[in-house]
Amino acid sequence: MKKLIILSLLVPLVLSACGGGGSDEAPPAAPPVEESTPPDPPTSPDLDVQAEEAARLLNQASFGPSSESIEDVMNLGIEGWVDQQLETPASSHADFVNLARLREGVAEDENVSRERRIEAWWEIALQGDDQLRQRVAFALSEIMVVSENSVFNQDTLGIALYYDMLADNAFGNYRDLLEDVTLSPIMGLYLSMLGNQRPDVERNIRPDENYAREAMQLFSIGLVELNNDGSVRLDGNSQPIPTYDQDIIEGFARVYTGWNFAGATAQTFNRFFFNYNTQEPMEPVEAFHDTGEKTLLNDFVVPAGQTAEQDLAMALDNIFNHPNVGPFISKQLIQKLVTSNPTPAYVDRVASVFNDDGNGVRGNLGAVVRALLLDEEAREGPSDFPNTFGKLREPLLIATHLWRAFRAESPDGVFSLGFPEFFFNQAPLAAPSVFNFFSPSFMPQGLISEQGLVAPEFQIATDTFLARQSNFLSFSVFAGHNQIEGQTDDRILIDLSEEVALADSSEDLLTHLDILLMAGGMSDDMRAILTTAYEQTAEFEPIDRVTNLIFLIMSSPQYVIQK
Amino acid sequence: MKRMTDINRRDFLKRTLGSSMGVASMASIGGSLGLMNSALAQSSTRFDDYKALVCVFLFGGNDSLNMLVPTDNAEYQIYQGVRQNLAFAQDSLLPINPNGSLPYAVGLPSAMSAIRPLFEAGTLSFVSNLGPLLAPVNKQELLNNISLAPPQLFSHNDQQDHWQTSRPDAPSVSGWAGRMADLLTESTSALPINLSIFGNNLMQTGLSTSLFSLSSTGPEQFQALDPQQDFNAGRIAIYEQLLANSTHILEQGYSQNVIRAMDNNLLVSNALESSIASTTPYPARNFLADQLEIVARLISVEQQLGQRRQVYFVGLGGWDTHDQQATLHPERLTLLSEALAAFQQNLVQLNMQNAVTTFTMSDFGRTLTSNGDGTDHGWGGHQLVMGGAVDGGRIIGTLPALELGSDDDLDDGRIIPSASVDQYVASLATWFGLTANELNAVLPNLNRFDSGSLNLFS
Repeated sequence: MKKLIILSLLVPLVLSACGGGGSDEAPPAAPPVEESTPPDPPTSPDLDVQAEEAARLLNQASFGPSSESIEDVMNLGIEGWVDQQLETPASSHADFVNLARLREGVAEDENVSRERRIEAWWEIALQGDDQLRQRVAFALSEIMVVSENSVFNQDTLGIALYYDMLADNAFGNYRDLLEDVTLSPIMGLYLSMLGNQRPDVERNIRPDENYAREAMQLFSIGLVELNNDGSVRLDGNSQPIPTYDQDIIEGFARVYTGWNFAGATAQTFNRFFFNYNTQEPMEPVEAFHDTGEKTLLNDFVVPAGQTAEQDLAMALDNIFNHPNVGPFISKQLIQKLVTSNPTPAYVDRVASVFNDDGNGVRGNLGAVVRALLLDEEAREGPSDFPNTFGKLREPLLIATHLWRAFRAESPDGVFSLGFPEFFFNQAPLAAPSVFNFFSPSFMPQGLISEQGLVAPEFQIATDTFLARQSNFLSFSVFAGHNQIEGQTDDRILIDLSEEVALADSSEDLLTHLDILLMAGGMSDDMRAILTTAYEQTAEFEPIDRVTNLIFLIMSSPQYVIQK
Repeated sequence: MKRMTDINRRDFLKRTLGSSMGVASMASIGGSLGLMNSALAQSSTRFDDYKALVCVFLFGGNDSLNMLVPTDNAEYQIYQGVRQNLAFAQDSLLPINPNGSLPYAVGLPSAMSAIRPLFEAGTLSFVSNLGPLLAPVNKQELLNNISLAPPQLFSHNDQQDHWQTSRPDAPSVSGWAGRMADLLTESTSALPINLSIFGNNLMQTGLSTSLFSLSSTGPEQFQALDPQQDFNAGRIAIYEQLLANSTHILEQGYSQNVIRAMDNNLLVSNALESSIASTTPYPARNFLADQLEIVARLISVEQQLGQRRQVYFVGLGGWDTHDQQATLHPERLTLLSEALAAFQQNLVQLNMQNAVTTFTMSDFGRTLTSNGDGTDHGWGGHQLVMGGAVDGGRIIGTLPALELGSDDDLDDGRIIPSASVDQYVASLATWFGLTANELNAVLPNLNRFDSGSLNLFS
């Protein structure tokens, strides 16, 4: 019978005293466990199921379940927890960067190093209260992509501000998000809307089409018309229907003229370094705006003679009201949080909430996130679609899960993994291009594509990075816990005292790890295999037996596919 | 509960491996992972000689119309008038002496000086104005019906896919090099003949064959699952059981990939131990050179790898020069040229210069017109092909007119390609050793082009 080990957290853990003990010494005396383990909490299948359900939600809606967050969800209920998270204010990545600036004495006109931005990301992912908001912001950072692989690669603060903007808008309205993305100076630099000028016919100079194209292809409506369930609409000849053509791109390109760093003027328009300002949204300089008439989506005409701001408002409304936005954005959010291959009906339900949140509001992202998490398919997917539901966990999210589940701390207080791309083939806001690290339509060769399924995250799980991810785990599990003596102060160390306390019972230990890591999804076969593994290591120190199990589980296909 | 010992190995092989995984690779599950010498690829045994194709993909869309610049006054004035501040200065151009006649004389930007000797020595050619096409088409036909152009023209990822699949008419899950490998590979379990130093790509993805990916520092081992370390044996045995124990499609796909990675990382690492390093240094701080250097090392151990045919894929980003093109594009051209020159020199050292053909691809050419300080997405563009077998010192194909509004200009200097990706790939694939039937299987649209394959080789 399973026992809900999670609840043991509710009582003080005697074993915490052995946290500093080295595993090369005598194993921490086991006896205290017997004496001080409290009477079993009232166990019931209901509590097991509740804990598993809580952990499943947290896989989808946070940076990984921890014992504490599982309890939170159990206390509040699935819906209650989501609603509480929707009200939780955003942590700030920029604040961390600014604090690092003060701490390190970096001058105002110099840049804080890139590692500080990444460390902020780890700290917020691991310890922030706004788990759902930050998880959605992370998803948005892979949809409305900017990347430090650009001219602003040293501008750590500007990049952090972009991330904060995504987090601030994560539960707001998509129309506001689209406007804030459009006017972000970092986006302006990345997709070259910043400094874009009205045409100069004499010199064959046209407005820059970069933002016009990518904002539609990737951030909002996509290339072809969609049904509300995310499927592709076909014309009378069974062909997809393009959402726009080159003329429409050129119309938007002309709308997006005249914008520059805040404070730039007609006189300073081309003085890049003089104007440089990534702390505030871009502002228009009317002398550089194309005031002609423009034709946009669905034959909408922006009249001549308007200001840059008036044109922009009409253009963003034009995109926002395209029927593709609901299914396009909803499906990608589902793919990034819940499952790679949602049913059309699931997409349709969530996109309908995008179209109208029930109060007549279009684009309410908080309602969309709520709907996609509380949807029957999100909650019942593993039983309804046992062989296809779920997604490959992103490598960064495996790391956050490991460190959240096992209470990671760093002796020096800093989560020093400033170049995670070495292990993971990804790092926050560091994609190779605006097309992100992986495509939502990627189909891995072999079984998966033969079944007609997509599995986007497989695109970065190459032969090299499968090995490096495994080596990250061995480095962070076998060699990354706090019972090893002599660790340097900058190491991120997990604390396995809670698990070692269960080491006498493989049943209890595996149940605990099953809930914490696999949301109760461990099959009987897998449990049997791991029980054998555990028995085979009987002569080893408890800590080493535990790390071996954690490594095996987190390396397993059963774990890496989040269900 | 079922115990592990109850699991019948034959069953789990069947369950895990499905149809597309070969028996040899499976065998490694039961034994020790990675010790795969028996499964060394006997690919392409029908060939006595060794050949490799090396694709250099320039991600973002190379402004390749700025690689061949008119040098004569009249044509230069046209070029300069169209390109404005993006035009290279006339007196900065490096003259070249191509074989054959051209509509106008051209030179190279000074940023490409490293490859000029290769051109002059007949080891490198330019292939002019290529792009994805559904079928031969002219401007008037396109203006009447734009759907005669490939769908999603000017979109990065779509046009990358068109180059990599040669199937612009239909979404494809396989690329042309993957389909070649499907035909040339006897055992799908062996090390793929498609080797990538730039991660996953569609070009090298077959229906029955995959690609093997490694970084420029070489393959890496799974340290805690390394079968060469005895103390890992117990853990590996358990892990193998976990890999085999699933009915979930994504889990099985993941297991498949892990098993392949373990086997092939070890196999390639072992082979590389006897590789031959370049005696002349590659340029430093050159991401493309880093990749080509390991390609040369892998070529030097082709016998150990047991592969008579190989396709390599390397890549370089940063070509999407909407902004600051006058600064950024010459930097890219220099990186490209210096990396190619070093690679070819390394191949000469290995005496492989005639066995390896290197070629470029890129999303698209860019607009001849400027957007102020950059260019936007176009269509046709020039490519480079390099190697001892190449008919070098030529500009193969037809140089486009550079006047705006010409019959080559769809609009704003987006140039209509004069030859298709299919015709380019057909020449590469024929050199590689495909039969005419195989060529048509790999390039089903080739027969739409009456002029057939380009002639890239002497």
